Amino acid sequence: MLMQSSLWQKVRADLLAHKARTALSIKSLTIGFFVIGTLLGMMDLQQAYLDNAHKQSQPSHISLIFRQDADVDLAEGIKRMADVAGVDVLTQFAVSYKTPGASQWQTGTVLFRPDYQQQHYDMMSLRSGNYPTGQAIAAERLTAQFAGLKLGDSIEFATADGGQQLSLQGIIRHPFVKPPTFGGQLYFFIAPELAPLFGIPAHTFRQMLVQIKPPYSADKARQIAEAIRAKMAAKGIATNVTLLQDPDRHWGWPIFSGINIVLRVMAWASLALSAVLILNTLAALITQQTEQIGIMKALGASRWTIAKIYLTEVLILSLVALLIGIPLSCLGAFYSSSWLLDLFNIELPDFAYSPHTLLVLVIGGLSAPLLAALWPIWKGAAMPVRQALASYGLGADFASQAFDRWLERAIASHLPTLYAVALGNLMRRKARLFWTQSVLIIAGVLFIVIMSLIASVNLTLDHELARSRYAVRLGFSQDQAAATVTAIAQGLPATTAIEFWGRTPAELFQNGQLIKQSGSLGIQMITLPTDTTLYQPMITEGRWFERSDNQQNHLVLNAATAELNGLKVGDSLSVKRLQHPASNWQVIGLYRSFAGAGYAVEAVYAPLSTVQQDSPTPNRHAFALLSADITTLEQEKAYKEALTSAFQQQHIKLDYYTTLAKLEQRQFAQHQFSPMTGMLLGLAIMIATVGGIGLSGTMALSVLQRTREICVLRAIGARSSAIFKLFMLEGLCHALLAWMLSVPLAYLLAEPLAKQLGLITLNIQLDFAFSWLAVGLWFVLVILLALIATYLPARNATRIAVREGLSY
Amino acid sequence: MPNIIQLSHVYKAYQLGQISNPVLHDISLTITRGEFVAIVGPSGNGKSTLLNLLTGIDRPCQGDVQVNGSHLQRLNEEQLSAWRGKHVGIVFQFFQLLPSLNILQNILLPMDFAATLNKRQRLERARYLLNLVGLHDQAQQLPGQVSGGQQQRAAIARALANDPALIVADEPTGNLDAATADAVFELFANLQQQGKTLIMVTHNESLAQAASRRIALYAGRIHEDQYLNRAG
Repeated sequence: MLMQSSLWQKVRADLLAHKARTALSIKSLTIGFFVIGTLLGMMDLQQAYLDNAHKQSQPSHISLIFRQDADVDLAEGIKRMADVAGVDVLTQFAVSYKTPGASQWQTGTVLFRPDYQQQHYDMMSLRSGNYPTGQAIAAERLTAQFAGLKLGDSIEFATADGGQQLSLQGIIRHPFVKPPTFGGQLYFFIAPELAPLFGIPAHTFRQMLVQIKPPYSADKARQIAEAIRAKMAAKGIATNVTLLQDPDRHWGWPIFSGINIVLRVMAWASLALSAVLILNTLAALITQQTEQIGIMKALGASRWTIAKIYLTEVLILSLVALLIGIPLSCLGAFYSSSWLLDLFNIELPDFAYSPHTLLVLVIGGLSAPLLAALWPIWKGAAMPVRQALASYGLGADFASQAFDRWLERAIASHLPTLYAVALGNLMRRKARLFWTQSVLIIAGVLFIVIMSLIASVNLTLDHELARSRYAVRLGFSQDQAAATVTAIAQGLPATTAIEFWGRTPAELFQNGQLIKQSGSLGIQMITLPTDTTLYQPMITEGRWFERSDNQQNHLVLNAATAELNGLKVGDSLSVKRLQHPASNWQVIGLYRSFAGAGYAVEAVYAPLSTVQQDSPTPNRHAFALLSADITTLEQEKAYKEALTSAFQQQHIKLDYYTTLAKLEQRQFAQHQFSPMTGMLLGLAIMIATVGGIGLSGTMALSVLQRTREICVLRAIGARSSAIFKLFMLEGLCHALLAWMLSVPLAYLLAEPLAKQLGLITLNIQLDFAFSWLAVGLWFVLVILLALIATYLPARNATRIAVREGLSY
Repeated sequence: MPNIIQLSHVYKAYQLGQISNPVLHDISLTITRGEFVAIVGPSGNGKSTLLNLLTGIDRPCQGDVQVNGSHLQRLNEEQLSAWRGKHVGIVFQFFQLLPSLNILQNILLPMDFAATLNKRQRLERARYLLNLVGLHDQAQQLPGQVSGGQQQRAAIARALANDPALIVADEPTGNLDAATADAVFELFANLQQQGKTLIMVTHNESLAQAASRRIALYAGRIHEDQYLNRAG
């Protein structure tokens, strides 16, 4: 783009003489580059580090959690099995602890491995201090962060011998803990020799981590898991849970996929915004240069010469914006990824950036503004000299379209003059209006959709709880006699009814093939009385149990699993229960799983009486469901504590993971979802903020372009307050219009989007509730946003001296 | 008749980098109420600067500008806006009507800013002014829908909105054809007869000759100051 020195001078003068306009253009472009660079960089860094961290931890392919403590020698036998590449063992159990300064006991998890220096799978790596030895313990990295623990702190644990203070001497990263911010427990590590203090026999384990010989496949892993379970069962060790893990995919992948979808939407929204900013800025530049274009053309400049001048200006502006935007977006992507990955216990190095994003930014950053500028510049350069030189007035372009005339007749002519000016100005630059509105509308729709998602989560929880009429579900570490449990539970006056349920791991086959599971933690058959009054899942097809199902081989199956396998009500399945031969069962109903797919144990419901027929211990049960006279969370907590204590006195161990209190469960579920919904809401607010910046840019350009109009108003007696009000009104008109358009759009889109977001990011099937509160909140937010975005441009408008724009 | 404008030893220069570029030199001038003054002179000799000083759009470097009893250099920008709204009506060469307001609303605008009349009175006055300039049929039209001459008449009606004592016009007929220019000039003559003071910058010597006083500026000084057919 070679140019003569006089044209270079013009480029230089244009950029330097209008410093405010140049700064605004660079700011607009920089914001666009920053947001897109940050979002793309975030996606790249997340994808790269998520799977990398997963692979580095040497993930086990199969993880088996047993009901009893098994002797470590048993693991040697498993190691020798065909297709087993290696085995690690560990023990996890629930404990009560108090952190320094805490007065209440909390429930957490303690974990130990036989030798921390000899880990092969699910590697727990030391971050600071030492691995646990003797009385010294370690805390999980996220636990330490969440609870504010530091090396040297003393933590009290409830042990078989009473309270015991143990010193924190190490911080360890565990690759597969649920982050406390997502509702996960606090994790502590002890030396194996300390296990007896917690009532765990020495040289035992409760969990086995297995890697199979390559090549890995889920089916192969499932078959080997079955063989291991059988082998362990033969030694008297029952398996509670079997986990299969994809060695190439981090467990947080489904959540990150959801986040990435949201980020992608945001990147598109930002791209639209950047286009708005670029188009607005360039259209303003051309409008302001109309007279000069006319003069240059009158002097013989060709269309291409004129286009070259302005394209060069755009290129220079883009270069400067890139120089500022690239480092900012690298920092933005790094810090936001660090924060997000940290929630999943993944640390980024000191600094990381995505070369791919950098390349996209440089190529896109230089070409996109040029492409966006091409049309307004080419159109501007084509303006006839007569038209260009005759543009001294305030512009008579407003009446050129029928819509303008209609607007004036139908609305503006009935408004006070200042309001009519604001409304007219809003509609004058329709392309700018369209783009600015688009960004604000996208932000509004996202905000209402996400708020509706939160409302839907609450509604779903309410519905789910309405189907649960028990107060507490007790899960026993070992099946308990109904009479013993009834006697203890009825000793508490609040107890009104008791119901016993059972559980057994099961495998379901269709035409000889193991069926695919929608949950990754295996299938468990939950057996219950057919006349249960304390719980009934939502039946989507077929029916729930009736008395006539007693002693029948009838199943109620997860609807997602049925869909996955093409199963229908009435179909037959072969069911293989632990230590029982396979038998045929009929599907009588499908239920909707609240927990959805993914990281969950999948329940298959069956009549208790059927399973009791061939059980050696028909009157011993895994669960007791208790209803009680309880209305508040506090009452429920007290009741649960009283129950725990009563069972402890009778030396009956409750299983922490399967013992639930209904209201506490609701609170827990809400807390579990809140980081994700909070993050989505944060992203929507970020888009709204970016929309606000776009609006601010639009208003600043309005002020720049209407300098002459402001001066005319000043000349005919407008005070600063009137000028200020005029621009603030225009900003408010933008906000009101965006609000009015986003509400019906959000109403149409909220249900499908919220349900999809619920499935992707929270992994649950939602009952939908449209959030009218969000409609009200968005109104307040968008008005506030407009007031903030317009304040500075409006104030600048009041500072324009009349002589700046009026040269008669 | 009492004076409406009194300029005493006014000096104005524009700073261009390090160089001070004088535009008006020691201008002293008195204009009495009801005069119709035409300011003439070649381009770049200070006509527009003089108008800027008289309307408070610009400030002198030295000297005193007194208009309708106010010393303009003592007022700040905010006070000047309010002062202009009440005391001066400005007619621009390129009309400068707000494109998104109809003709009636454009005339209402200065009255809304001044807020000295109630809503009904403002509407009545706007309609009276539309009649005065012969635009009663165009009240609901947008500026883009009417001719240049009609726009200029609307701009004159707007300048009269708050019934100012002084009307200042910069090349008011410069953008109009001869017939329309005559009609606009006739409107000015009528206003003078109603007691308004008019100051008009023009290049049109025949129009200038029709005013009651002709001031010629040359090189920033008053070169000629002639009373022609003084009225009022």
